[in-house]
Amino acid sequence: MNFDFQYMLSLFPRIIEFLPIVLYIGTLSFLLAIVFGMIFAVIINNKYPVLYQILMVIISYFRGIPTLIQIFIFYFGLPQLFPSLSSIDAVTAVIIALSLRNAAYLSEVFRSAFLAVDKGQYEACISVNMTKWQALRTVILPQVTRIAIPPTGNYYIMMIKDTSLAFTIGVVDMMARAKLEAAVTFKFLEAYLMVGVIYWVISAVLQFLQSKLEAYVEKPYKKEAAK
Amino acid sequence: MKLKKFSGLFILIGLIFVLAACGSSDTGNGSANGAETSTEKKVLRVGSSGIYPPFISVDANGKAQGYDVEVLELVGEALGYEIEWTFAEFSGIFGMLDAGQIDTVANLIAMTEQRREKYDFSTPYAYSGATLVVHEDNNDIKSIEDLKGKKVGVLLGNNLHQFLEEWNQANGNEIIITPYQDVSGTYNEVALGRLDAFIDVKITAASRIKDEGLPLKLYGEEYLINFDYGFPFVRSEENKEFLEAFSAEIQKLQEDGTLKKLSDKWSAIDVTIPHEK
Repeated sequence: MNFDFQYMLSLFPRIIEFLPIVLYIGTLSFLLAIVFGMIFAVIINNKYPVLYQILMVIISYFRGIPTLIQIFIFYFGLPQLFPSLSSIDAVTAVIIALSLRNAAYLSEVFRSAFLAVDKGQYEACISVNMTKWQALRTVILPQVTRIAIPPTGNYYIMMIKDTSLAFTIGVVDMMARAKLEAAVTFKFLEAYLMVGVIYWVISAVLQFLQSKLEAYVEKPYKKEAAK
Repeated sequence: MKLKKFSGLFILIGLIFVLAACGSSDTGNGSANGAETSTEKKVLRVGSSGIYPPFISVDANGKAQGYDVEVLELVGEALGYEIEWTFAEFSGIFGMLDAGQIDTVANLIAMTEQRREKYDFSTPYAYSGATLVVHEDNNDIKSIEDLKGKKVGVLLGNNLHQFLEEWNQANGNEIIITPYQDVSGTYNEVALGRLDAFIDVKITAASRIKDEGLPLKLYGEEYLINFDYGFPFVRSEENKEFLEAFSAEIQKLQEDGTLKKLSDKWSAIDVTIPHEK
């Protein structure tokens, strides 16, 4: 087989053009997923009646059904039941589907991070006359954050790559562009390799940023050791 | 305990607000766009996979090109419509058509019986048929009968897949049919010997074998099955009138030889010769 390296390089500018849409969908869904995931985690931890049961069904749905099918149900299925939903554009649909799905996963991450901080610490805070919010803000949450960052970063990288599913409902992203390019030349391997390399670089950058963030929340622990 | 219950309520209310905000801003955009298009030039929204050269593909600047594109543009021009393209994975295209997000599909859509039951088609604008792509050294496959006991690749859900499945059921189920999600790797599969044959439209197969430079060939000259290709529209009263005008324009292009010219420009084989009935 003849591998056309020159062609692969020539695709770079045409594929990188779609990096903004990938980062936009990936990042916005990620941020929304964190917000929803935290809300989910709070509901699960406190077991609010009714809300908790509803949430259990929702989470089981989002965790149990493949992303592609969820996007399909959301974009093609729901508008048939509720015609007003058909005005949602494809990008919004992908963002909502991705963020809710990953919120379901992240809620478990956050929940376990909360559980990892010993309950005694909270009780200790209360015993020295701190309010509930003071305890959460100054003692519990910093520790929860530190524990939650590594797995949460994982989800960010996964979501960035999941955006390629958006092409199924008509959002052209890097992966889609590569497919469209390769369709003309039939050089699929070259095009896919180029996309693969770009995704790899993105996740390497994200990993680097994550390590910086980790070092930042790790600071108090380091100081302690130096003293 | 009471406080906890209240905070749950707050969260729920917050959630509803967020969702409502999402929804309302979207509908706002939607209606604004709709109003814009109706006052300006009429728009025909066309969906396509964008990966079906020489009929439809995307050039270096991301613009649609190919036989289907030029046919549609000529018809659109005559009827006063501007073409708006949407590219999506083929598996999502008909869902978009059903949901009303696009008006028609330009992807060399064969007018099969099942599709005719559901959609109204324009007059055919191309005619071709199915062939088999086999390895250069493979001289065993001379007809569809010879596929028995062989592994044959198909593109999942397209009309050739249906055709082969139906033939297989009627003839003893001996062909091992392997569906693929997209065409990217399928010709390589045949070249590497993992598949004995791949079923494809003849025009596409001929040009792809040439361009990809793989040790492949067509099994023979005969079509396994003939197909007429048209543009599908959702069946409705509103579409009926438009579709008649649309078909009349295609007929005109066929009669004055424009289709033949476009076919010569894009395809190695003349696709404008109707099959003998």
